[in-house]
Amino acid sequence: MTFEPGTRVRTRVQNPYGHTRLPGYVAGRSGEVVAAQGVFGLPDVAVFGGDQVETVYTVRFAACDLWGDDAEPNATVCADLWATYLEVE
Amino acid sequence: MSDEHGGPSPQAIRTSRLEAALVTRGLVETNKLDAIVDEHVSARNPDAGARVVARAWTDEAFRRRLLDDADTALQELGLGWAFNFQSTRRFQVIENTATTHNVIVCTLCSCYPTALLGPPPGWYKSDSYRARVVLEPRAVLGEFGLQLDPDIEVRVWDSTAETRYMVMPLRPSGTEDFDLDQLAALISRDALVGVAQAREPEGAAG
Repeated sequence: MTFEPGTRVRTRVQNPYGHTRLPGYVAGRSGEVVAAQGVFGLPDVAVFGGDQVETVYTVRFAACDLWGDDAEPNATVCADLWATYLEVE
Repeated sequence: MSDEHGGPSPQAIRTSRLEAALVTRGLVETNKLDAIVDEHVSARNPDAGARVVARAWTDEAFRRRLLDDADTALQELGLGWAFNFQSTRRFQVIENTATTHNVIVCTLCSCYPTALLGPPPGWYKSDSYRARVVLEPRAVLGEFGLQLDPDIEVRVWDSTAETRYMVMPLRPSGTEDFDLDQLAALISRDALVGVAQAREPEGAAG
Protein backbone atom coordinates (compact mmCIF):
# COMPACT_ATOMS: atom_id res chain seq x y z
CA MET A 1 0.00 0.00 0.00
CA THR A 2 1.35 3.41 -0.94
CA PHE A 3 0.02 6.76 0.22
CA GLU A 4 0.49 9.99 -1.70
CA PRO A 5 1.07 13.22 0.24
CA GLY A 6 -2.30 14.82 1.00
CA THR A 7 -4.05 11.47 1.49
CA ARG A 8 -6.35 11.30 4.49
CA VAL A 9 -5.56 8.20 6.51
CA ARG A 10 -6.69 6.61 9.73
CA THR A 11 -4.28 4.70 11.92
CA ARG A 12 -5.21 1.18 12.89
CA VAL A 13 -6.20 0.24 16.39
CA GLN A 14 -3.91 -2.50 17.58
CA ASN A 15 -2.42 -3.93 20.74
CA PRO A 16 0.07 -6.48 19.46
CA TYR A 17 1.93 -8.99 21.54
CA GLY A 18 5.56 -7.96 21.39
CA HIS A 19 6.46 -4.55 20.05
CA THR A 20 5.16 -1.71 17.92
CA ARG A 21 6.17 1.83 17.04
CA LEU A 22 2.61 3.06 16.67
CA PRO A 23 2.16 5.26 19.74
CA GLY A 24 -1.10 4.59 21.57
CA TYR A 25 -2.16 8.25 21.49
CA VAL A 26 -2.31 8.27 17.67
CA ALA A 27 -3.92 4.83 17.26
CA GLY A 28 -7.32 4.96 15.61
CA ARG A 29 -6.86 8.65 14.72
CA SER A 30 -7.40 10.53 11.50
CA GLY A 31 -4.57 12.47 9.89
CA GLU A 32 -2.97 13.54 6.63
CA VAL A 33 0.07 12.04 4.93
CA VAL A 34 2.74 14.74 4.62
CA ALA A 35 5.72 12.88 3.17
CA ALA A 36 7.36 9.51 2.66
CA GLN A 37 10.50 9.04 4.78
CA GLY A 38 11.97 6.02 3.03
CA VAL A 39 11.81 2.26 3.39
CA PHE A 40 12.62 0.62 6.72
CA GLY A 41 12.09 -2.69 8.50
CA LEU A 42 8.82 -2.96 10.43
CA PRO A 43 9.77 -3.17 14.13
CA ASP A 44 6.65 -5.22 14.97
CA VAL A 45 8.07 -8.02 12.81
CA ALA A 46 11.76 -7.41 13.43
CA VAL A 47 11.31 -8.00 17.14
CA PHE A 48 10.55 -11.64 16.31
CA GLY A 49 13.51 -11.89 13.93
CA GLY A 50 11.49 -11.18 10.79
CA ASP A 51 12.31 -8.78 7.98
CA GLN A 52 9.40 -6.88 6.48
CA VAL A 53 10.42 -3.61 4.88
CA GLU A 54 7.86 -0.93 4.22
CA THR A 55 7.63 2.77 3.52
CA VAL A 56 7.45 5.01 6.55
CA TYR A 57 5.17 8.03 6.21
CA THR A 58 5.02 11.26 8.14
CA VAL A 59 1.39 11.77 9.16
CA ARG A 60 0.16 15.07 10.55
CA PHE A 61 -2.66 15.08 13.08
CA ALA A 62 -4.65 18.11 14.21
CA ALA A 63 -4.44 18.36 17.98
CA CYS A 64 -8.26 18.37 18.21
CA ASP A 65 -8.33 14.97 16.43
CA LEU A 66 -6.04 13.55 19.13
CA TRP A 67 -7.30 15.24 22.26
CA GLY A 68 -10.82 16.44 21.50
CA ASP A 69 -12.04 19.48 23.40
CA ASP A 70 -8.97 19.38 25.65
CA ALA A 71 -6.63 20.17 22.75
CA GLU A 72 -4.73 23.42 22.63
CA PRO A 73 -5.76 25.61 19.67
CA ASN A 74 -3.67 25.80 16.51
CA ALA A 75 -1.45 22.81 17.23
CA THR A 76 -0.52 19.73 15.21
CA VAL A 77 1.51 16.58 15.81
CA CYS A 78 3.54 14.79 13.14
CA ALA A 79 4.47 11.14 13.65
CA ASP A 80 6.45 8.76 11.41
CA LEU A 81 4.39 5.63 10.82
CA TRP A 82 4.98 2.40 8.90
CA ALA A 83 2.47 1.67 6.10
CA THR A 84 1.07 -1.29 8.06
CA TYR A 85 -0.25 1.15 10.66
CA LEU A 86 -2.29 3.13 8.11
CA GLU A 87 -5.44 2.74 6.05
CA VAL A 88 -7.07 5.18 3.66
CA GLU A 89 -9.90 6.97 5.35
CA MET B 1 15.34 6.92 31.19
CA SER B 2 16.03 9.66 33.66
CA ASP B 3 15.01 9.76 37.24
CA GLU B 4 12.98 12.83 38.10
CA HIS B 5 13.35 12.58 41.84
CA GLY B 6 17.11 13.01 42.15
CA GLY B 7 19.76 10.37 42.67
CA PRO B 8 20.89 7.70 40.23
CA SER B 9 18.16 5.86 38.37
CA PRO B 10 17.81 2.07 38.66
CA GLN B 11 19.16 1.87 35.10
CA ALA B 12 22.24 3.91 36.03
CA ILE B 13 22.90 1.71 39.05
CA ARG B 14 22.51 -1.44 36.95
CA THR B 15 24.84 -0.07 34.27
CA SER B 16 27.43 0.87 36.85
CA ARG B 17 27.38 -2.59 38.44
CA LEU B 18 27.54 -4.28 35.04
CA GLU B 19 30.56 -2.18 34.09
CA ALA B 20 32.27 -2.97 37.41
CA ALA B 21 31.66 -6.71 36.93
CA LEU B 22 33.05 -6.64 33.38
CA VAL B 23 36.14 -4.71 34.45
CA THR B 24 36.74 -7.01 37.45
CA ARG B 25 36.68 -10.04 35.17
CA GLY B 26 39.02 -8.40 32.69
CA LEU B 27 36.46 -8.44 29.88
CA VAL B 28 36.69 -4.70 29.24
CA GLU B 29 39.23 -2.04 30.12
CA THR B 30 38.04 1.19 31.67
CA ASN B 31 40.20 3.40 29.46
CA LYS B 32 38.89 1.76 26.28
CA LEU B 33 35.33 2.10 27.53
CA ASP B 34 35.95 5.78 28.28
CA ALA B 35 37.34 6.27 24.77
CA ILE B 36 34.19 4.78 23.24
CA VAL B 37 31.92 6.92 25.39
CA ASP B 38 34.00 9.97 24.50
CA GLU B 39 33.80 9.23 20.78
CA HIS B 40 30.05 8.64 20.78
CA VAL B 41 28.82 11.08 23.36
CA SER B 42 31.22 13.50 25.01
CA ALA B 43 32.88 14.64 21.77
CA ARG B 44 29.54 15.66 20.30
CA ASN B 45 27.78 18.88 21.17
CA PRO B 46 25.30 21.34 19.66
CA ASP B 47 28.05 23.30 17.86
CA ALA B 48 27.64 21.11 14.78
CA GLY B 49 23.91 21.78 14.62
CA ALA B 50 24.43 25.50 15.17
CA ARG B 51 26.99 25.65 12.34
CA VAL B 52 24.57 23.93 9.98
CA VAL B 53 21.84 26.46 10.73
CA ALA B 54 24.20 29.45 10.50
CA ARG B 55 25.27 28.27 7.07
CA ALA B 56 21.64 27.88 5.97
CA TRP B 57 20.80 31.39 7.22
CA THR B 58 23.53 32.87 5.03
CA ASP B 59 23.34 30.65 1.95
CA GLU B 60 19.90 30.40 0.36
CA ALA B 61 20.84 27.61 -2.02
CA PHE B 62 22.26 25.55 0.85
CA ARG B 63 19.14 26.26 2.93
CA ARG B 64 16.95 24.80 0.18
CA ARG B 65 19.17 21.73 -0.20
CA LEU B 66 19.21 21.24 3.57
CA LEU B 67 15.41 21.33 3.84
CA ASP B 68 14.95 19.11 0.76
CA ASP B 69 17.59 16.50 1.54
CA ALA B 70 19.51 17.03 4.76
CA ASP B 71 21.50 13.80 4.33
CA THR B 72 23.17 15.11 1.18
CA ALA B 73 23.49 18.72 2.34
CA LEU B 74 25.22 17.71 5.57
CA GLN B 75 27.84 15.79 3.63
CA GLU B 76 28.77 19.06 1.93
CA LEU B 77 29.77 20.35 5.36
CA GLY B 78 31.88 17.29 6.14
CA LEU B 79 29.20 15.92 8.43
CA GLY B 80 28.65 12.71 6.52
CA TRP B 81 29.73 10.76 9.61
CA ALA B 82 26.42 11.73 11.14
CA PHE B 83 24.74 8.89 9.29
CA ASN B 84 26.89 6.13 10.60
CA PHE B 85 26.17 7.13 14.14
CA GLN B 86 23.99 5.06 16.44
CA SER B 87 20.70 4.08 14.85
CA THR B 88 20.33 7.25 12.85
CA ARG B 89 19.09 6.44 9.41
CA ARG B 90 17.96 9.76 8.09
CA PHE B 91 18.05 13.40 9.02
CA GLN B 92 15.42 16.04 8.40
CA VAL B 93 15.69 19.71 9.22
CA ILE B 94 12.40 21.49 9.82
CA GLU B 95 12.21 25.22 9.45
CA ASN B 96 10.42 27.66 11.72
CA THR B 97 8.53 30.31 9.77
CA ALA B 98 6.48 33.39 10.57
CA THR B 99 3.43 31.13 10.86
CA THR B 100 4.77 27.79 12.16
CA HIS B 101 6.91 26.89 15.17
CA ASN B 102 8.36 23.37 15.36
CA VAL B 103 9.43 21.33 18.37
CA ILE B 104 10.77 17.76 18.55
CA VAL B 105 10.12 14.88 20.95
CA CYS B 106 10.26 11.11 21.08
CA THR B 107 7.22 9.87 22.97
CA LEU B 108 8.28 6.21 22.63
CA CYS B 109 11.79 6.57 24.08
CA SER B 110 14.29 9.41 23.65
CA CYS B 111 15.31 9.52 19.96
CA TYR B 112 17.27 12.70 19.33
CA PRO B 113 19.64 14.11 16.68
CA THR B 114 22.63 13.19 18.85
CA ALA B 115 25.11 13.30 15.98
CA LEU B 116 24.51 17.03 15.53
CA LEU B 117 23.51 18.06 19.05
CA GLY B 118 25.34 15.70 21.38
CA PRO B 119 23.52 13.68 24.04
CA PRO B 120 19.98 14.80 24.90
CA PRO B 121 19.35 16.81 28.06
CA GLY B 122 17.64 15.07 30.97
CA TRP B 123 14.36 16.91 30.51
CA TYR B 124 14.11 15.69 26.90
CA LYS B 125 14.13 12.10 28.18
CA SER B 126 11.75 12.75 31.08
CA ASP B 127 8.32 11.15 31.16
CA SER B 128 6.84 14.57 31.81
CA TYR B 129 8.22 16.28 28.67
CA ARG B 130 7.45 13.29 26.44
CA ALA B 131 3.86 13.02 27.64
CA ARG B 132 3.03 16.70 27.85
CA VAL B 133 4.61 18.30 24.78
CA VAL B 134 2.28 16.44 22.42
CA LEU B 135 -0.78 17.22 24.58
CA GLU B 136 -0.14 20.82 25.60
CA PRO B 137 2.85 22.13 23.63
CA ARG B 138 2.09 25.80 24.25
CA ALA B 139 1.99 25.25 27.99
CA VAL B 140 5.28 23.32 27.89
CA LEU B 141 6.98 25.94 25.71
CA GLY B 142 5.70 28.60 28.09
CA GLU B 143 7.50 26.85 30.93
CA PHE B 144 10.69 27.14 28.88
CA GLY B 145 10.00 30.88 28.63
CA LEU B 146 8.78 30.76 25.05
CA GLN B 147 5.43 32.48 24.49
CA LEU B 148 4.00 32.11 20.99
CA ASP B 149 1.26 34.20 19.41
CA PRO B 150 -2.05 32.33 19.08
CA ASP B 151 -1.93 32.63 15.28
CA ILE B 152 1.37 30.71 15.09
CA GLU B 153 0.81 26.98 14.56
CA VAL B 154 2.77 24.79 16.96
CA ARG B 155 3.89 21.65 15.16
CA VAL B 156 5.24 18.82 17.32
CA TRP B 157 7.42 16.20 15.60
CA ASP B 158 7.31 12.81 17.32
CA SER B 159 10.42 10.84 16.24
CA THR B 160 8.68 7.48 16.16
CA ALA B 161 10.67 5.85 13.33
CA GLU B 162 14.12 6.21 11.74
CA THR B 163 14.21 9.92 10.91
CA ARG B 164 15.88 12.29 13.34
CA TYR B 165 14.65 15.86 13.33
CA MET B 166 16.37 19.14 14.06
CA VAL B 167 14.68 22.54 14.13
CA MET B 168 15.99 25.51 12.17
CA PRO B 169 15.07 28.57 14.25
CA LEU B 170 14.23 31.94 12.73
CA ARG B 171 17.20 34.19 12.12
CA PRO B 172 17.06 37.14 14.52
CA SER B 173 16.82 40.59 13.03
CA GLY B 174 19.85 42.83 13.32
CA THR B 175 22.24 40.06 12.29
CA GLU B 176 22.60 40.96 8.61
CA ASP B 177 26.32 41.71 9.00
CA PHE B 178 27.15 38.74 11.23
CA ASP B 179 29.62 36.10 10.08
CA LEU B 180 29.07 32.37 10.56
CA ASP B 181 30.74 32.23 13.99
CA GLN B 182 28.70 35.16 15.28
CA LEU B 183 25.49 33.61 14.00
CA ALA B 184 26.27 30.16 15.40
CA ALA B 185 26.83 31.73 18.82
CA LEU B 186 23.17 32.80 18.85
CA ILE B 187 21.89 29.26 18.29
CA SER B 188 21.46 27.19 21.44
CA ARG B 189 20.73 23.51 21.79
CA ASP B 190 17.25 24.40 23.01
CA ALA B 191 16.59 26.44 19.86
CA LEU B 192 17.58 23.43 17.73
CA VAL B 193 15.11 21.27 19.69
CA GLY B 194 12.44 23.95 19.37
CA VAL B 195 11.89 24.94 23.00
CA ALA B 196 13.57 28.32 22.47
CA GLN B 197 14.20 30.90 19.77
CA ALA B 198 17.63 31.91 18.56
CA ARG B 199 19.08 34.55 20.86
CA GLU B 200 18.72 38.19 19.90
CA PRO B 201 22.12 39.82 19.34
CA GLU B 202 23.38 41.89 22.23
CA GLY B 203 22.43 45.53 21.98
CA ALA B 204 19.59 44.82 19.59
CA ALA B 205 16.62 47.08 19.99
CA GLY B 206 13.53 45.39 21.33
